[in-house]
Amino acid sequence: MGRLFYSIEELLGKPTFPGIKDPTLVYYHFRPARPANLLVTRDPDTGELNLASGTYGPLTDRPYTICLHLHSSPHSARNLSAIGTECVVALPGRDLIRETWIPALSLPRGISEAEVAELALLPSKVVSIPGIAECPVNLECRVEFLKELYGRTIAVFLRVVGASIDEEMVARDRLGVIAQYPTYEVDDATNVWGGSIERLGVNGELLDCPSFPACAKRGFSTDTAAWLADLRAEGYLSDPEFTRLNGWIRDYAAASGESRAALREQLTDALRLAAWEEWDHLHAHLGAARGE
Amino acid sequence: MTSKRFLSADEIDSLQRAEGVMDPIAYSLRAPMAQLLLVTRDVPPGDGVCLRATTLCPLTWSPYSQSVNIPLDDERVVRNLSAPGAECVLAAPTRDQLREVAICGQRAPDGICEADIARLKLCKSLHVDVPSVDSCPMNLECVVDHVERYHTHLIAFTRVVGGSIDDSYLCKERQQIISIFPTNFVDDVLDSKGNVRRRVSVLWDVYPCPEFPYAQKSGWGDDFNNWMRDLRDESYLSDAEYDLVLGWRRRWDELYLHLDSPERVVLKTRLTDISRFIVQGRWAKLHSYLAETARA
Repeated sequence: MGRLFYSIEELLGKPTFPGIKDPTLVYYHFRPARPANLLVTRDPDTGELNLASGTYGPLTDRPYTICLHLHSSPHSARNLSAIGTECVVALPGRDLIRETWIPALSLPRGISEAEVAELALLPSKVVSIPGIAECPVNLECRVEFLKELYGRTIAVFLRVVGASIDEEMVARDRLGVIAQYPTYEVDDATNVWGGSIERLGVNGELLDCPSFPACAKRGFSTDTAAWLADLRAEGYLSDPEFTRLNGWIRDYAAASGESRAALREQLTDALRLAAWEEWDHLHAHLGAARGE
Repeated sequence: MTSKRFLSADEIDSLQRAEGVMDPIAYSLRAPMAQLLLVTRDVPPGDGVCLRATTLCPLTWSPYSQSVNIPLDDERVVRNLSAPGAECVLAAPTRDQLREVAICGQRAPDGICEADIARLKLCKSLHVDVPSVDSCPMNLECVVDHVERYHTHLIAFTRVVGGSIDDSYLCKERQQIISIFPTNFVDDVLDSKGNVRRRVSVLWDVYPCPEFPYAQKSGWGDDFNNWMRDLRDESYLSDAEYDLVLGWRRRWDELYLHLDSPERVVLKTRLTDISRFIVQGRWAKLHSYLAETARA
């Protein structure tokens, strides 16, 4: 096994490799698929609705906020150019591949992409912009922050002020939900004219990460102190072992030079053995440090 | 129409539970998002390398950039990413590295490297001073161009300056790759013992979007007029039909801001109808429609 390094210029130039026929294959290895969305906005000049295809990402959970990235020139960027502007971000399902693609076509400004795609509008409850009835989730949003990026793109931070979801999705288990929506922009295959065929993917498998005792009972974003307390509470660490480990953490924070390096190694070894649930080795490591 | 359940902002916020997990509906309102390992170098007086599991938010393709979102209470990473000239690496773990991800989801004491705890091997990066994760198939080497404090998080806008890949993945087909990496953060649930368990997903099915003649030959981003020209060149439109449609388009642009114009209303209907016929492949309907309107 080896590792190939590319500069950004090489990556954007879509590097190829002997034996690889698809000229975009390697390039897309470096681009994680991102969730697709349909964005509904209103043209401030005419009041007409615009529907655009795009991708988005999460920002914060509470409040629930998301980020769009819009090319500066298309209609939706113009329609969302002011703080407080309303829009709806709809999440399309796997049964709406064609409909998700149609708004990406460059129809003349003012022509309703929703009508062309034969999508029905769904009146919203909080904002004045409708959602898309066929989409299982519609997020009613207001613009909270705008930032121009590299002269060509605008990052739009949206606060979700209302939402709707298909009742049918509420009843499904998690795999049933994520296998239905959203779709993801996976890559662009090359068509016979040298253009691109966008390909959309859908989640198909749900995997469990290890939980306690591999990590704290409260899961991600917890600190080591809470994890060690959990390990003691559940009997994975004795009281003396718990005290010793916390002592190492205190000593490490205050140490410098060679003693800090030695404590770092000692502490790292202990945490590694706990995280990989190698309890006998952990007890031996803690005992050896005490001279047992 | 399918029955819908509406939620207000307060109802959405109330879906957050005390145990640190959210109500299932809250996760259903969110898209599973690629979960990568964020590598940063501790700024002095710190002296280590820090790893975190984090989700991405796409920004631009050229330059290639994305944001990473760090909780403000994660002082170590906030400090590292806020420093002038900050750099980072985003590494994509595989479906077989979920324990490693869970370990890096915890915050080790300052100066302790989560990679060492997770048994992830680091290697030198080529374009930044922060190490890459050799155990992960793909790494993106990034510089931080801007940071923004937003509600509960630091949003760091990162630009990719280089990348590396495990060459054993190089020739794998897209469908195979997406079932291996990256994994997408789906939800946090309580397991049978009351512990929080993270669940992730991988993509599986891939569907191609329509192509010419139902879309432009270029695929996307091309002009409407070029699409019509392509349709004429491939005999989906006659010369007369092409001229008619482009004439409508020209007139539509002229009348765009004349909202009271009856002609504008007619043109909007016509352009909408013919666009719908084309994307749905209703060629016979398209030709008869154009013939009728030309006569009218």
